[in-house]
Amino acid sequence: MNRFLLILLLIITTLGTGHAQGTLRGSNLMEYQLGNIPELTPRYQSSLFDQLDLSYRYKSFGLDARVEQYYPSFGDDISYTRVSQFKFQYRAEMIDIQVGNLYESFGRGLLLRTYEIPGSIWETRGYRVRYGFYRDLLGAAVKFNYKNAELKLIRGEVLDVTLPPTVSDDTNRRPDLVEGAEASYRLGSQKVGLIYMRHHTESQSIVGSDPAQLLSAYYDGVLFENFSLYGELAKSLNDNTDLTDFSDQAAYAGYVGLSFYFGNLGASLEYKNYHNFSLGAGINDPPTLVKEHSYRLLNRSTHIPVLTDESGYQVELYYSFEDGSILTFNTSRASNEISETIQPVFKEYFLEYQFYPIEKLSIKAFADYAEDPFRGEPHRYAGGSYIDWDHPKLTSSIEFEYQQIERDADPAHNYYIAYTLAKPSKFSASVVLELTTDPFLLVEPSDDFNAYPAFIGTYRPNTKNTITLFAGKRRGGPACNSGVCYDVLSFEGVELRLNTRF
Amino acid sequence: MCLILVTSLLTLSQHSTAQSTLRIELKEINGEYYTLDDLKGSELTVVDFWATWCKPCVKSIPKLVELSHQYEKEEVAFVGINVDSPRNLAKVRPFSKSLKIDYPVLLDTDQALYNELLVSVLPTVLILDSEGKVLFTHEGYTHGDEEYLKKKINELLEENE
Repeated sequence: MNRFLLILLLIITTLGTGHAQGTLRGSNLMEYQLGNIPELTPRYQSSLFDQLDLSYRYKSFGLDARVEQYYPSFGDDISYTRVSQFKFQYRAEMIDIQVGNLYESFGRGLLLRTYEIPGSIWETRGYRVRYGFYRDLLGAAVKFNYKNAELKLIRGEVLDVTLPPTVSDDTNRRPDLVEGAEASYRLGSQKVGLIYMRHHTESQSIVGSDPAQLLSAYYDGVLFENFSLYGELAKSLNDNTDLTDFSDQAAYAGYVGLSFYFGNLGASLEYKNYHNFSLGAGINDPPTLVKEHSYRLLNRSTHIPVLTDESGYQVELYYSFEDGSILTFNTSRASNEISETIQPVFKEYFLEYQFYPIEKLSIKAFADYAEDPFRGEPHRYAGGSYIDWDHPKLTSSIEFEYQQIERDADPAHNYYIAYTLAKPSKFSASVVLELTTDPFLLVEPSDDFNAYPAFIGTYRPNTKNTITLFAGKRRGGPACNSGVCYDVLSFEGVELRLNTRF
Repeated sequence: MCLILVTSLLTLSQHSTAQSTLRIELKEINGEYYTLDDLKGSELTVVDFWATWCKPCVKSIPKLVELSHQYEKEEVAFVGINVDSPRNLAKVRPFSKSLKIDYPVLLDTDQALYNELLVSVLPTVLILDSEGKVLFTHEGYTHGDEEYLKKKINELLEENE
């Protein structure tokens, strides 16, 4: 299969160089690491990861391919060179056809969502194999458009991103097969849609057994100009399903999002109710309704929804002042019913103010309070400030965050401080220090804290190349990006990354 | 079989590569659906890829709004492309309104345009010609980048003359 794809890749390259009419574009991400997970031996081992994306377009059709390589200094059995993605696309006035490795979703992801976190390299402690972080669908998708109606058909196998490409051949990295259709019709700014999906899982105990069937309906529209509303309700259909059954045994997911604005004030209110709706190896990804923080410590402390039973809401308000400053308030709540007696409720309150005291100075300050009994953290407090100012030809920024986690037995304090000096679009140099007193992260139980010092330098010789150097110790843990949460491994050593576009 | 399919589709193709980009239809935050072709300027189109969670994006937007007012809409059109995931989608419209974005903002939830234009970081500003061809790419934002962008737009307008 890979040989066939490599030949096709060669064809793309030939087409790109041979045809003046078509265009071949690409990007390459290369990362070299010398180091290891802190406290693991040997302390220094090297690895090289490379991800090449090629994209060829000629008139209405396109070919895309991705080649990934990984060569660690340890274990030949986990090194690889492979064509990991390939896609053929044809796009015309009324039809869009894609065959190969695709990214597609149904509705807001209650039934199906595939994604990629660009530039992200995934590695787990168990496998120690590095590969691109994406959950794609291998199959085909066809979209038909006619006036105000749209029909989307998808069939394919969804990648389980937790399994590296080097797992043995008898392990199926694509255990979920989905077949579905989404039909939608819009009238002005109002849209209604209906989704039907069949889901086959490898774990189904009876060979040839019927797939799970799921149905979803949604409304998406603008009301009275200032308001917009999205509502979607999805249900699992069994032999004798009663569509009005929302009992404990039923499997359903409901989401409603209302947003509105008045002058400088913007607001969004969202409600969720997910019950027995964790599909396969995680092929669906309903809206989380917990703020995805860009602040480092808060991003790490996020709540990850439990799709077997979760309900809650999120409210976010923005106010933009005439001088350009912005005030943001967010609160969210998520209730889980683990058992009759264990029913943790996550709560969070977040306030942020971004303002410009003088023209060349920008300040952002935030405060956050959360209760997270699911993680055994009854109280979490955080605060911090980011200050950016401009010098002639250079800019500086100081970032500071503090977090206090109250636990019954092991309270913890986390600190993050960074200073960056940059010449816009040319280079930047940052010194970063993280400290934690978290007992779970101390090297020795007698230690007072664990420190993560690092230097990060970035240089852009031109608009097509970026070189990034990391040297020091990086703290791992949960991270959320583009709506997807995952675990990042800690690292100590030197890392060199080269991004190229052509 | 595959070769026959490709050959047939090639024969059917009527438009250029760049025009394929212009044909991707996306929902605008006010509910209507548009392609870049519907919104493009007669000379240039400035396309800004952003997300609500992206700090430099939020800093750059008021500057881009200011910059957009310095050109005739018909000549140099500005279009925002929001790439927030379904997780944040409910926030995009009120957020855009509170930031006073008065040019169209399209929702690229499935990252169709993002992938088509090979965008890899946020924010990314692209300047397209009237055929949809990418003339200029700028990634990231630091204070003063808007002046650089203005200079580039003016240069490209002069070249067109």
